[in-house]
Amino acid sequence: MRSVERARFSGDQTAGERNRRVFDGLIPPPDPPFTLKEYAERLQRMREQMAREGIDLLYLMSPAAMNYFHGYKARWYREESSTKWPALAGTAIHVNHDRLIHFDYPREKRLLEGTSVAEHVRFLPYEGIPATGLETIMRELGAEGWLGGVVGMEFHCRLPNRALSQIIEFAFIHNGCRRVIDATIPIRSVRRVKSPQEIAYIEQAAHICQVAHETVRDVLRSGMTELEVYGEAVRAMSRAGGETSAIESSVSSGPSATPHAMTSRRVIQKGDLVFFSPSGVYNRYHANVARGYFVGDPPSDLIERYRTSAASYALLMDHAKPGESTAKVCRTLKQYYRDTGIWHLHGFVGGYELGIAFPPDWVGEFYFDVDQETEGVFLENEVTSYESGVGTALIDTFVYEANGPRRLSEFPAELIAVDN
Amino acid sequence: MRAGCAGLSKFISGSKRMIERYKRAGGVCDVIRRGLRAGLPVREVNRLLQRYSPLGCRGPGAWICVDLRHKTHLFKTKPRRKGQGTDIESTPPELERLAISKRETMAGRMSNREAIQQHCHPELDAPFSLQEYSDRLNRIRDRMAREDIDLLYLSDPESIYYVSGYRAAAYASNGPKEWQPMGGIAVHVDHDRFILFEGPDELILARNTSVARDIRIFESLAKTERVVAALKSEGWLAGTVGLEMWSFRPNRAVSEQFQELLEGEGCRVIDGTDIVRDVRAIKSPQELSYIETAGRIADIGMQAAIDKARSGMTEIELHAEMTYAMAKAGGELNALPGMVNAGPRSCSLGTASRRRIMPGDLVVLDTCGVYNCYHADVARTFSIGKPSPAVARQIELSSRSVEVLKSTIRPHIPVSELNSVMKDYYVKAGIWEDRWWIGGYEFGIAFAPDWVGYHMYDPDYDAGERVFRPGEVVNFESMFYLPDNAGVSWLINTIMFKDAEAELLSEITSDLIVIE
Repeated sequence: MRSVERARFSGDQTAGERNRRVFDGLIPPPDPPFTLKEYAERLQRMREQMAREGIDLLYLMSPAAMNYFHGYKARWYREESSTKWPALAGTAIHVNHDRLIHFDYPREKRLLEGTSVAEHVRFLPYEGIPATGLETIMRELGAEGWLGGVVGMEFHCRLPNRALSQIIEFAFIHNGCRRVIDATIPIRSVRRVKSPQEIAYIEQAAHICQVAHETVRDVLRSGMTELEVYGEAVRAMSRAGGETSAIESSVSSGPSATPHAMTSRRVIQKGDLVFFSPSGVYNRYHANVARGYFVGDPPSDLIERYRTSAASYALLMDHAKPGESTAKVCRTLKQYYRDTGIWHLHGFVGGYELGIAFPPDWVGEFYFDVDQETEGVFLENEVTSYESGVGTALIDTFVYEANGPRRLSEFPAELIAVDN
Repeated sequence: MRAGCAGLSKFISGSKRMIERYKRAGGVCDVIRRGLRAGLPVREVNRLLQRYSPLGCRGPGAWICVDLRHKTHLFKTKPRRKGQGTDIESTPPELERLAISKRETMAGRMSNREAIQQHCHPELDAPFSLQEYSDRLNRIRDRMAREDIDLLYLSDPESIYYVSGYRAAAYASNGPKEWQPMGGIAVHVDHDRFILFEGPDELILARNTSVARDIRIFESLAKTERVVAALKSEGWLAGTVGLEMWSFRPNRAVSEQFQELLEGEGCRVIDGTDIVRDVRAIKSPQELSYIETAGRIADIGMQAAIDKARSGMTEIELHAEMTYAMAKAGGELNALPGMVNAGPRSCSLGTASRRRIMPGDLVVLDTCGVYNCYHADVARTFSIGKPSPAVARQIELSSRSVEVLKSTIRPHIPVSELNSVMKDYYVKAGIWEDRWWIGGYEFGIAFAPDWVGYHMYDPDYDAGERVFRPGEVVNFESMFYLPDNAGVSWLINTIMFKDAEAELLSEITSDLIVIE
């Protein structure tokens, strides 16, 4: 069993001493989803990126970053909780050291032991005012000799909130660091290209998503509520091993249906178009597939529109090869939609990075927008969604292989008629 | 009047009074707009204008509706000069906006997005009366006045929902840098209306779910600038602005950018997080009713887990059975992923996993029923098979605390008194030193990723003079390490403080639930 620095926590000394001490060490070792070698390679790539950016120390606090570098995953990250429970947990990475140090509250000790490969874990005093926990973090990092240079934090992430981020920044400056900068993009960039194991997990996630659609295709009938459809889908995905997704698997129906509406108690009726957009999730990797379901006999022009929309996938797969300009591919796609006479129906057409995600969002950093003809380059082994939103609910997940993007789901890319 | 198309007659007969009014007021624009939207041909609208224009028929200054390059324009004629035809002035901007034709849409010359944004007004699906929303706004403004805050910009999904009813499945909280999560609500201390800002893709959702009468749409980029510009044009940018800096939304970078722009307009910017959080702490009767419904939904979920739990199923499968049952009962999605943790995982705050539940496992389940985004929490402990006597005894001692809790809670009870009574019980029961956590926190509206409310209490924290007021809803958590390496027992109930009484919402037994 790997060694964990149990002696270093300074809180939780009195609560549950008797039974807790007996419990120490009885958590089974973690079953991480990646090899220790892969985690080490990730850390190495991050350090190389830090060196290029002139960053000495990173303090990572986003759930996705912590999960990426050492596997830690929790149910609760204190995003919106009382200020007496400041979200100080984070992982420190130094450019000159091949180990990372994770800081967390004693309450998460068992969870860390069960999910994280981090060998160096330091515990903060029991939750309280930020200053108390920060004192521990600064003291420990100072003792390691990790303070004094440029610190990177994730200013574009939801964790920590703005107020806490500024308090943490002040603590770094007060403890001798030169400055604190935003390192969101360097951190996210390391995750963009996926390893074979990551791609395998996303393929599994896509399979789980397909199970959801197959279930909904079988059960969706007029008279059901959106929530009932959702319940059926979640149950099916869980039986296929799917975890909770970062955004709810939206079921939206009727004249007010929009992609971002919350699933509701609305009763689905004959003639409704139902928008269903789940993500399958496996080891926190997400794959999103969305379809439109018509309850009853769909009008032929709608069927035809879906057919035309789905044909854009072939263009994406032919043109969006690794190294290709995103703007060029966007222009090609836009021209296709114009030539087929459906461009005027467009909402969002494009895609964004998919990978590790935690609530409340699964949208990654890289994106391309066909309307905006965004500049960028497609990379080999990255994974994105593609949304052909031209009055059609069609989203699929693609992995960009050497020969071009490959669609991960085999669910038919068409309007699905049910209850007809 | 000459007989025209059926549409014209219907339009005219329905509008005569309105036209007379506009004739007096000089407001032709609504007449024109209604005519166009009724699908009248341009020549019919012109005929109408000529008959009813306050400026006279066909003379200088009359309005003419003309199709130019497949777009309908409205022009006001200028006086005719000698030897020249009638000149046409440009339309004032407000009329230019009104120049919409259904024929444009049907001919496909207008994008689907433009057509829907113009014409789609779904019926309102708001869970509270307009009066209640108005009362909330007034309470917020009162609090702003006391804190000397002139403008409050709300970005927290809970705050936005509380003020307007707007709710979405996603808030762009963590996406690409360029997709700034700037949607929010501006409240001014001197105005009894608020402004809801959102992206174009959320316009219909905003109309469907919110009571906002003023919805401003900003395009995808440069959102902070657009919000500031809109607030400036309203005259709302003077004095002190409060931002919700302790909310996860927007992220720090966007929040700082927003602050910089506001300060550039001469505003002083401070943290205003506490305003709506404090106002929300006391629930109205309707809110309490929704939380009671949420409590019943939570019990349905927990009962489903009791009925379905068996060894061999995974934690995720059991969690899904709870979710399924709650969804069928009309329960919405939890803000925090529900928890099913078995065996040694019971002593962690992990999400349900693919671990199979084994015979002999203790399984802890924590979920919320959700109704109109109001949450009520319940957690219980199952044993797959009979537990050891020591484990059973410890859990029984913990379960008995519920009777103590029920007999203690009352409106206006000091928090310190509740803390003290419960601690005394656990000390006397001999299990206080085995606590994992004892305490609770506020419950109410919640959106992903967290349902934990702002106000918390814990016997290890000094509660000062604070009391539980009528209208407050909190949970009470009691978790204990167990002997024989069995894990941690979980027992959570939601407490509702009403005017004359306080009650626990769940009717699920607090005892250990043994699954044979």
